[in-house]
Amino acid sequence: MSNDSTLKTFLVAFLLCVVCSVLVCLAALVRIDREAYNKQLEIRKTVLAADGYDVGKMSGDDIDKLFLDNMERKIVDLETGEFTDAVDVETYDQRAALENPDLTVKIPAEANIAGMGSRAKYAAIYMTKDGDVILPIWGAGMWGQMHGYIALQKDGTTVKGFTFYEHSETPGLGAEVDNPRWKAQWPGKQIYNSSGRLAIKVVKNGKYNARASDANSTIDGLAGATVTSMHVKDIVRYWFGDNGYAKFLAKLKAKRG
Amino acid sequence: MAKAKDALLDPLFNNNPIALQILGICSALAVTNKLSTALTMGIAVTLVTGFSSGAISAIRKHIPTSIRIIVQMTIIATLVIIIDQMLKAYAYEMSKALSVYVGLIITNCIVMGRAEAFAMKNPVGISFMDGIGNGLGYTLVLLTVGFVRELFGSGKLFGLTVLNPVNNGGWYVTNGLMLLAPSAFFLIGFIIWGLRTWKPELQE
Amino acid sequence: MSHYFTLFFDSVFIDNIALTFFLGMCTFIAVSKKVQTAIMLGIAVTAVSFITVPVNNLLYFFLLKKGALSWAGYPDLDLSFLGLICYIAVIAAIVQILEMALDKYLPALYNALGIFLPLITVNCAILGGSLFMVERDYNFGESTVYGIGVGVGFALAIALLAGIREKLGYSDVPKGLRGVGVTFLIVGLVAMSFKAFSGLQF
Repeated sequence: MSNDSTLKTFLVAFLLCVVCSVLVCLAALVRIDREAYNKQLEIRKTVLAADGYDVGKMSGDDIDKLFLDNMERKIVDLETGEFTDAVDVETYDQRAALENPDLTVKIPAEANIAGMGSRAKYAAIYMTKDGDVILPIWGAGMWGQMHGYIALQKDGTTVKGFTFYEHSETPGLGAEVDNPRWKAQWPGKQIYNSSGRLAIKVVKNGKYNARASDANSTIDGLAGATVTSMHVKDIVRYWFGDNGYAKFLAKLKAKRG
Repeated sequence: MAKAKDALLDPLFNNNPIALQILGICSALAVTNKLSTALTMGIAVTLVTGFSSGAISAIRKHIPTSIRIIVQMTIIATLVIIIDQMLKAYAYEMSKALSVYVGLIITNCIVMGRAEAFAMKNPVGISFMDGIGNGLGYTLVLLTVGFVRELFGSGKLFGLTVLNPVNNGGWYVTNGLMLLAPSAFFLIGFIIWGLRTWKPELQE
Repeated sequence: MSHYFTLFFDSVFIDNIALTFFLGMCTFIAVSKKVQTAIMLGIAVTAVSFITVPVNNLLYFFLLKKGALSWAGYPDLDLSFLGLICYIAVIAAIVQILEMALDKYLPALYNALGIFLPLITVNCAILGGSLFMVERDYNFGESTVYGIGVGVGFALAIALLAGIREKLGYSDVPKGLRGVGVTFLIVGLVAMSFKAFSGLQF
């Protein structure tokens, strides 16, 4: 059979597709199996780290135990700012929800400062017995999406910690969001000022003035990574604005008196 | 056996894919700011080039001309996806660092280039060696560039601090340029200069 | 409307696929010896990118992403791991079709482009454009604008480099650096100059 005959062409193409598809699917199955565990562990580590726990050297089992002892998962309806049981509290996956049109809302263009396009209706947050809230926030970074958790104290405005668990920023520059010394700026900063307005901001590296009146809501940006720093600012300001957690935090504060 | 040795060692210096054939450059720029990513990328490309050249060589006598390019691409893409899935399963942190660039191995000219130039015309064994050899030549350049960039850009080698940077309370003021991709261009330019001065027969 | 303009401007200058993300380098360095050929390649890349990015967007939305197949009754299926191979297949097919169309209707352009057309299939900039589109979750309109922007940005960068290299013909470059070596150094400098755009914000 000549190589260029129509029959041979179809035969080769067909066999190749079958063999390659089988191999690719087998590999995908292996990955899917491991991925669920990897991802869950990472989120747990991040939530604990944001709330101030030192999880750097802990084993997977220790992290799981610490997490289950201290963190309670709750679902918040971002539209109303109330807790809800519209989705299952244990299995709801906020990131997966983005694929489901029933569980997402489009963000209007003027409000879309974090470059996301749409967001899930419900957020899966964590609370500790002391009243700390740990909130998932995410948005566009320079090279890809940035995902992290930010922990607030009982008062709903003082930051306890902020950690990204996923981003694709440039190592040594934008990726210094992971540098403990930069992260150490966040604890103690105020998201909202005394009149309740959104105050938190990130300024270009070097422009931070410790004596300014709003210094306690200002973060000094990353050296040489202005683009990433501005993305972080936009992400934080989106999620603590009216389209994010502002309603929820206001209601929480009212409830606590 | 001599031929196999040539296939393996030639691409290291005499016919280095990055420095002389000008193939596989995109990834060389993006992933060389850290040695760990450079090494992982190097290993991934070496495996893909070796096995794809081997596989393509094995069926070379049966590939119809009208679908030649896409058959090669399908085999290469399959291997890349398998490696990508394995990274995600067993080296999760590393896979996040490499993100878009693993997928781009499919378009890495080295893989396609060797498939077309060598594997289509040679038996399986030596095609495999040629693939591995080119992969190693690529890895060599990547490690060299990565070494300089990580050392002077962040004071570390494989994540271990060698020159304690100011960011971490040390003395070394990191060279910011080394962390940006243009530095990789300069370094590769100098590597080419060095290589061609050492072996004048390779000059244009 | 201004959103689309910003997107276009970003992808040509601030997020230039060749000089900020360093994709498409092999062709970039190999085909930048003369301004004329560089511009030709730029036009070809723009044409391919303009078609493939929106087509891949449709593919991703209606076939590959999680929940995409709900119209066919399979709402839980997530085929995004087949993305790479599908996008490449689309790109290869479009390039092949473009080649045949040019050969039939614009033979002068077809002859002028010669070997560069098939080379676009393996141009990482084209695949990179589709991958970034998926990563940033653009809709169809945004994908089209982004596709044009990627192409125009690449064309701009390669024409720039070709212009510099043509002028370089009058310089006395050291023997070991001649040709490719000095080109790398130049690209590094041009890339650094494009960094200036990253401070631009609308």
